[in-house]
Amino acid sequence: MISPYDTLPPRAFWRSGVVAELPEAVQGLYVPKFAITKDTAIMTAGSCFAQHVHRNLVERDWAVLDFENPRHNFRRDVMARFGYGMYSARYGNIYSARQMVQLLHEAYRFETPHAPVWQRADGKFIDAQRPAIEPDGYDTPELVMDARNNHLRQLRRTFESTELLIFTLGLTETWCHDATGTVYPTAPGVLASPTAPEEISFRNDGHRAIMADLQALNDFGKSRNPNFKLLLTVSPVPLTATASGNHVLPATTYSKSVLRAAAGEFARSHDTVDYFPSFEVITNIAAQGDFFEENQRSVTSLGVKSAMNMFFQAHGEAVDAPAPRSRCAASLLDDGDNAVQCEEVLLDAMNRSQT
Amino acid sequence: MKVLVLGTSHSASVRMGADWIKRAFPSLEVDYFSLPGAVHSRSLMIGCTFGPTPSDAYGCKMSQQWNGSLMVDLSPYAQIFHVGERFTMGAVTGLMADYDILEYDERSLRPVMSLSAARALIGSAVYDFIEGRHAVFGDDKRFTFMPAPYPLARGAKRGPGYEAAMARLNKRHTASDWSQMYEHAIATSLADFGYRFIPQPTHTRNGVFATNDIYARPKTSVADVGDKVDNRHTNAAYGQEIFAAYAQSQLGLTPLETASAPQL
Repeated sequence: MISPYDTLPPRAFWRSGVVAELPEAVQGLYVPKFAITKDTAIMTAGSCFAQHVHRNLVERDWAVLDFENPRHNFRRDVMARFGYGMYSARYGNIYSARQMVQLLHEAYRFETPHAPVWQRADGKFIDAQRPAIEPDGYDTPELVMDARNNHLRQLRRTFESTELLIFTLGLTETWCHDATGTVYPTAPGVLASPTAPEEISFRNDGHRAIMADLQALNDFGKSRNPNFKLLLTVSPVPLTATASGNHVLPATTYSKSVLRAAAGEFARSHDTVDYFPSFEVITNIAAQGDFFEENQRSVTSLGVKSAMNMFFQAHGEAVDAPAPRSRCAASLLDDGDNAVQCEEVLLDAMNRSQT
Repeated sequence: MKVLVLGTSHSASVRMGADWIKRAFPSLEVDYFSLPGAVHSRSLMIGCTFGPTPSDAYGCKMSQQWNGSLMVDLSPYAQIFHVGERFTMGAVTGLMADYDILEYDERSLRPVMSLSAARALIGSAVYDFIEGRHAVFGDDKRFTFMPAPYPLARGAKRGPGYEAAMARLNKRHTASDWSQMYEHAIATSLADFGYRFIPQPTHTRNGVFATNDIYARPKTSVADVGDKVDNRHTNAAYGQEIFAAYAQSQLGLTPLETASAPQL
């Protein structure tokens, strides 16, 4: 009798699909559900890793929407310091589908987030939903709202043009205003605080909540454009810190597992939603940690390249052949891309300064 | 006093005014060394001499053609007037044309950018550019820089030689604020490297980001040359004006005769 495994392709088996493959170029890992071309109007958003996706698409001249960023090549680190050049609009890191849905609802005036302006210890004001995009802060709450309203206008323009949203899920942990459900990317006190910080509490979403948010995101996209498509990824970057009360390692595992399960299930049940396994490329055990920097969090440029090569190849774009394994060690000496900015890094920096 | 006028093709306008400079500033002995912008930007100092590298066949040919020599020895000169760098003008004016400044009142449909971000982007772009020039010229207090002139005002007319960013910028209420920000960035970054800066004289401008058409090189308009219109380079009258501005501000000298009338 023939077993169901006898006719499966090599990619279905651990030995041939993982052990025998170069971690930089695992064959058959990403089999796209739908075609994405250089001309597809792409909007990028999400957690830290999404910055790499955005930059790689831009560098290869794919049709990434970008109405808010300077057209010329200003210094990347300065651009990133002010939230430019990171995503299709200047919304900073969006860690959860809930935050993304909330942002889009706000842009189209279906929702008004609670306490949009927070104040820093130095008296300056920040945009609570994108707290790191103005490192010098704003002088008045009015300026925050003026900038935000303009940003939302650019965001509407971007979303109206979007054929494909590439969204990277980052965290299940979030900070939420209890009465209204408004979520925030950082906790009160990290970079700034609202007038009533006690009204904002920690929330750690589960699978059902994530699924509901993904459904809301997809529904909203379809409502604006019937041809809207969604490509989900999960950030492989571990949590900098957890407020769950658990050790950060199981907290990370929980967060990533829930997000990965939800992304997979949601993609499986929608023809116009796909999952791009960059998480699997980076966390592949066969890479033996080569795709993480010394801090065991940041993704190396080799890791990013491996994930993005997989994307480009799957969509018909020629990419450089991966370096032979013997050269991998040398490639890891590369200190990665310093311009990637992340609120989580700020949190990390703040923690260090306190210890 | 020996003075060297050094620079890109924009320094040619000063050279065109050489006879007037000789009469107006008899105490100065002025020499000139110009290279096309692209050649100039890749040329190097070798010891005390500046010029295209020997492997730069086109640069050497141009230098020989324009200067009668391959290199210029900077050591005899007491002062160096450097003319014609663009200081990332294209990127900076493009940025200025594309954004409203959050803290200013003017609002269009453009995205807004905070003053802080604008200063940082412009400042870093200009600084990096000047750092690149410093890598070539090193610490040398003799250098005074004047940028390339803004495009001629006629470039605001659509057609050949259209200067889109300049045209858009000059229509904006905030043009002078942007101009101050940009020129402040150039001045401070040059000072960081020990160089001096003089902006394009105000009286040679039309608006903020354009040069008066009276400083156009002769027979370079659309009517004269069609698609080959030159809205970037200037004439001898402009060269006289900027040298006079340099001599007055940096050397404390006033010209003995007025600059010749601009060509219309």
